[in-house]
Amino acid sequence: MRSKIMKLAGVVAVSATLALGASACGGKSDSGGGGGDTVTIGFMGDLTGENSGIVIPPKQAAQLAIDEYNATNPKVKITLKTYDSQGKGEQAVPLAKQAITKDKIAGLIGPAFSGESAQVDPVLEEGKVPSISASATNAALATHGWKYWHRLIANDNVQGAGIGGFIATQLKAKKVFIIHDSSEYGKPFAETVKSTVEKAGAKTSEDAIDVQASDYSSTVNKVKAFAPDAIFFGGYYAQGGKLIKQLREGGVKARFLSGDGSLDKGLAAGAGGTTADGSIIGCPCLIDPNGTAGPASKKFATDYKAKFGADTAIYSAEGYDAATAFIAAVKAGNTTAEKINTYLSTIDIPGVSKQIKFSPAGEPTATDVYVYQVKGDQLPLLGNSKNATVK
Amino acid sequence: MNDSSGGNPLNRVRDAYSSASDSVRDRWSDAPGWARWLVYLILIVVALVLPADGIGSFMSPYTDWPTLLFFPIGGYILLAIGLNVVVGQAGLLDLGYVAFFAIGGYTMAVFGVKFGWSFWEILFVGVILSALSGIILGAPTLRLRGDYLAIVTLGFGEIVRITANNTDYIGGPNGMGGIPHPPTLTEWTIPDNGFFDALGFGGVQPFKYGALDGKPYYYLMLVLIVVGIIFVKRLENSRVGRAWASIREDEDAAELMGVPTFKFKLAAFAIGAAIGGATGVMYGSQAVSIIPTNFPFILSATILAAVVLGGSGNLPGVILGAFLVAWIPERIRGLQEYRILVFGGVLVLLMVFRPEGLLPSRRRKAELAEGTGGMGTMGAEVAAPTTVVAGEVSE
Repeated sequence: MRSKIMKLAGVVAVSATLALGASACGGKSDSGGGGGDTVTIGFMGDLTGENSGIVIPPKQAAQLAIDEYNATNPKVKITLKTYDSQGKGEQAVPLAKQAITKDKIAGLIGPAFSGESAQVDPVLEEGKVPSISASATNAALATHGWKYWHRLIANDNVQGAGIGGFIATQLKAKKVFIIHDSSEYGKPFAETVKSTVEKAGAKTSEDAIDVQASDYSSTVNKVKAFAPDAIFFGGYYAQGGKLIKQLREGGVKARFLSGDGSLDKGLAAGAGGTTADGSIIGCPCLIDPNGTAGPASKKFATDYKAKFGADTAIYSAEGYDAATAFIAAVKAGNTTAEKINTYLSTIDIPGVSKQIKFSPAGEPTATDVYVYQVKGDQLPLLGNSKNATVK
Repeated sequence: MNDSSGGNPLNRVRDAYSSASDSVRDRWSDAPGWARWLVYLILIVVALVLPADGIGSFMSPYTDWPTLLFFPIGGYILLAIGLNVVVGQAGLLDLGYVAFFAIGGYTMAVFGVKFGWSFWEILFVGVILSALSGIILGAPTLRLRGDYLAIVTLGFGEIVRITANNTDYIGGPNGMGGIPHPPTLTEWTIPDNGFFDALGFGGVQPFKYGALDGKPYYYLMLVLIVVGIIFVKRLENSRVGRAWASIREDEDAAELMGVPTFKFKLAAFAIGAAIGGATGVMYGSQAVSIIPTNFPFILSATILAAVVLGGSGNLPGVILGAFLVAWIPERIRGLQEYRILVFGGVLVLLMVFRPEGLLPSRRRKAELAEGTGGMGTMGAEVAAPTTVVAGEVSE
């Protein structure tokens, strides 16, 4: 028996060695030997880790944008080089240094998450390489005065204001009950929504839930006593689903709203059946596989589907726009990181998800928040929170 | 399958490797002092030129080699040296070692950001604090043995991470940013002449700590590693080291012979914790920002794997193990999504090939052959590997 196992081990060892040898020869990007006729743009994020599901769509979308541009046979071509950080800062930092010093990237799309961004962005700042993140939403990132940092996704504060505005103006809610999960994400987010609806003249009351608990009956009773027109929940879908279920069982009929932490099919699953139907989830991201948002979005959705055989997903439109921003910079004749960064400070072109334009701090000037309505286990787009109408 | 394993080529390779590593060991222990010092000197010189571009392009084509050498490679090596005191020498299975790394990292963050202390002061404080936390954890738990101790330490690692996650003062889940780099010691620059340029060192400022160049951090880590090795090695050859070995082999016998086992176990814990804390301070000062998710359980497991894979209880082995565990996944980035699969496969193969570790400690190997699993009081009663004499028929 033993010798068989040993043979098998030998086979595995040999194949691993072969794979190593093969990989050592592959994976090199061409360094554009023809005198600056290619520019390398990096993409950094969790491509193989546990959260890769929300990083692969923007990566594919960026690839799509760059392939489309290269297909027009431009004077300066762009190569997209991916850096798999697995969402971990300790892997992302050396990768970023390699990208700057060896690969000489002229710009970076990413890092995808806020945690790794906090470690990588100072390196990019010293290396003078512009970055555009499609998915890091932590509000504190914009407060460091980084000159080379940008993002194309509105931060958590903007999202709170957008959803608050939607509750006040579109839903015309006069009484709003605010619930949050006491987390670093949910609490400030819920506070922003609360102050926004209060400014619009609505009465509010609030309560916090414990993430570990499974029985929210005290919260349900408070909601019943307050009799609101709308309920807003700042937190993640795991608790959001249970909350909807218990509210409905308690006889509360008011409309349920939440933010991007609940933008997942798990919300409807947690509530069970069609209980969550009609709930509205806001997100500063545009997910529009059917192209209802406009012709540009429709074209992007069909192109994406044709190339990757899958619908556009979370952050894919933002990834496409980040690549578009770099492409526009290269089209305008900027091929060095420094020049591209200068160009990004004045860029003002229409993108798929929003107008591509940055504030001096690197935040997107567009504050669009999109709303999605739960329907069965789907989350179809309703439209922009400023003008979406609720059926 | 009736088959004599002596004829198996893999076994032959294994035996050849075994006897080669044994003969090197014998020669080393008989070597005169000057020869040993010569080898130490050569090793130091090699370590100094290790970040050179020529070496880096082969060792790490996908990511920045000097930064890799600082962390994970250097960091894992220092952590493994610390964990080796606890697991390899005293035989206490610690599954929460990352807690001390986290305490060091957060010490750097809190004192650097909120009090504006310099790196050197914090390094000292971080080592003290980690050692203290080692004692605080050890005092109630070291009365336990084996599996029970492993479970308690595992819990401690999680407690530290979750506490960091829930404490607003240290940033909660957002962690802490803006951690200062170590102060620049001197602006001295390596001269830009042909010899250094060829190595890729021309114009490098080895004592100036910025965000982009990883070499200065690596040299700082190298100094810490050398200090750590000397410290641990001296301990190992002292009365303390002998006490640890006796505890590992048979705690009851050691206690009966008059070894104050509890005190020595606590000392092992505190020393291991102090080394982990020093690594944490170093990492924090380079990373600029740390979040609780930098300190997951899997890191404890990885360091433990490095210690066991390299050869628990033997410093060169532990260093080799940590190097491999940190370096292989970065070297095979070209395999993309198969990277971690291949890495796991390599680890399994190495353990099948050398169950006692790549460079095992003499004594541990003997314990393994006796059938105690080489883990002292860990309670893992592993059957001794049966050596089949060539020509004999195995079952």
